[in-house]
Amino acid sequence: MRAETLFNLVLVGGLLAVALIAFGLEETFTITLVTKVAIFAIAGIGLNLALGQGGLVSFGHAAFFGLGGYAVGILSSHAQNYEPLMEWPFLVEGTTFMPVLWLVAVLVSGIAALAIGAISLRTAGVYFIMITLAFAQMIYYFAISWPAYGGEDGLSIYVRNGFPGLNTLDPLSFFLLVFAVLLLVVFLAARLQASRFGMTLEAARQNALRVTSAGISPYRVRLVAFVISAMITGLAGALYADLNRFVSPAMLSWQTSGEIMVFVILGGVGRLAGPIAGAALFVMLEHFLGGLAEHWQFFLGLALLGVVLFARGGLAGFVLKERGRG
Amino acid sequence: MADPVLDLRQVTKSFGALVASDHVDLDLMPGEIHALIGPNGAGKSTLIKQIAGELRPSSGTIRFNGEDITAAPPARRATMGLARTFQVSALAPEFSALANVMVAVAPRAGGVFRFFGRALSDRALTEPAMAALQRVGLENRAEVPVSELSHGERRQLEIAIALAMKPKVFLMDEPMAGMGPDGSQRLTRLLADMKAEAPILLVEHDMDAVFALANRISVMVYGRVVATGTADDIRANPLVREAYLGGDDA
Repeated sequence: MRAETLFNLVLVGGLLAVALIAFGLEETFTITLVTKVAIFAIAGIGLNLALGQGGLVSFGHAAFFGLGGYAVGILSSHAQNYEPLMEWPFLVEGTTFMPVLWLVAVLVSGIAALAIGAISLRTAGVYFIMITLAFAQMIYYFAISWPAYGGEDGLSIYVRNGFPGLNTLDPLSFFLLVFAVLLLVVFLAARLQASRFGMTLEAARQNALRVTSAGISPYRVRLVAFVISAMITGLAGALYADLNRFVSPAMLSWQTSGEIMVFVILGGVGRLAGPIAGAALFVMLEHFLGGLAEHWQFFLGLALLGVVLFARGGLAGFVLKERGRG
Repeated sequence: MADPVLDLRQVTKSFGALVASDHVDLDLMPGEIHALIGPNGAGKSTLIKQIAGELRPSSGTIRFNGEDITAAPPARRATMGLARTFQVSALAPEFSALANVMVAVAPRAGGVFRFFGRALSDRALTEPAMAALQRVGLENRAEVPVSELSHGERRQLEIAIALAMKPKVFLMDEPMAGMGPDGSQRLTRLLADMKAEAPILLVEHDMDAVFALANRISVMVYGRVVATGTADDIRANPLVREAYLGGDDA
């Protein structure tokens, strides 16, 4: 446990250090890469709650990542074009104010997860994987075929949305904002993991009968976990939209679901900081190998294979040399 | 006479042509241990599963303190006060013994939907859980993960969990199975002690324990209850001797 805390601090500290060094060296692109790591890490922490703690292998978290992104894209494009979202029965205007955008992204993802989870959680195992995938694909194709917000071409956000007191267009300021959100999410995830709810969720993963016979419906516990998980991933999607100043159906695609899962598995399933390690590894592989070979995913596949075969606990488990979870 | 705590009327469960429970009438009175015995495959576990809510009877009714629970889901029955121990342990293997009990305490000590406070330092959970472990003699093994507990210790832990639920009925499916003679004796004493808290419906193969503990015994053969009575009645019942106890066992 002590070693894991150290590992978490090194990871989080390392992320900040790389960004600050890159700022010193005026390597703006590196700051963007580190920001991407932090955002992917948030998405992964979201999924890790369902997958790691709850044992719910969701292959549809891109739905929430994308919905979060589209919530930001749609609201800010309305605000930037001075077109209200709707005028009747009451006036709803777009906004470029990040806290409101985040809140909407989190709520939209949560409501979607409530509906998707309520149905999907009646299944288990492979069926759960497939049904979450199916829901995400439904939303993906809906986004493609809905021309109002760019359809297949996606939707641009002309100017990055604002946060009070910050110039979000400055890469380091935006990174620090994302980093602060990451810290908050890590803190909340840690508390949740150690809470009564986290304990019950873990118990339901290990043995659902244990929880049922104690008078708790595993379904309800899992549904709440699924919703919280989706909200966190949706928040990451909102940040990602602002990082790229662009949202497209690609955010909703099954490849994105797979990538979020890769962050979790590479880093260490069920580990608090696992997704940070996994996202960092992923972005590094993408960046360095992507420069060397066009089909860098081949090497990502090799890395994944290595983790699954030789380091079940992912990077975190490998470094901490333990088999069990903290 | 007092009203039964648990009351099964004409409970029938069939799987295709196989009738696992055949018009079973069974009740459990306050303060008693009612043992359910019968040869393997007689349908004892199937009956327990129907009482716990894991299986729905094909027909018949199950009442718990007068309320019809035939269709209630298992979690609801547990909340109402049905505590069950399993033939094959149903524990969270990665958790410590203490955490396993805490999971069962939580719904009765403020609920499980608390997302912030540290469960392991929540005295509303740890204290009742430790007390339950103490009663079964596992207080020194509280921090040990279940995967490292012996078979006997897991059985004790199951009972600690049931105790921690402060139930109105204990449903115990072969708690003595796989326990050594020492363990069985200790468990027999514990069960005798537990019936003061809540009546016990006990499925058990250990005849010494059954005859020592049970106020009433029901014998099940091929899904039917063929006899119900005191230990002496059952010993003397020719039907029972033939069907189940055989020559050497009685």
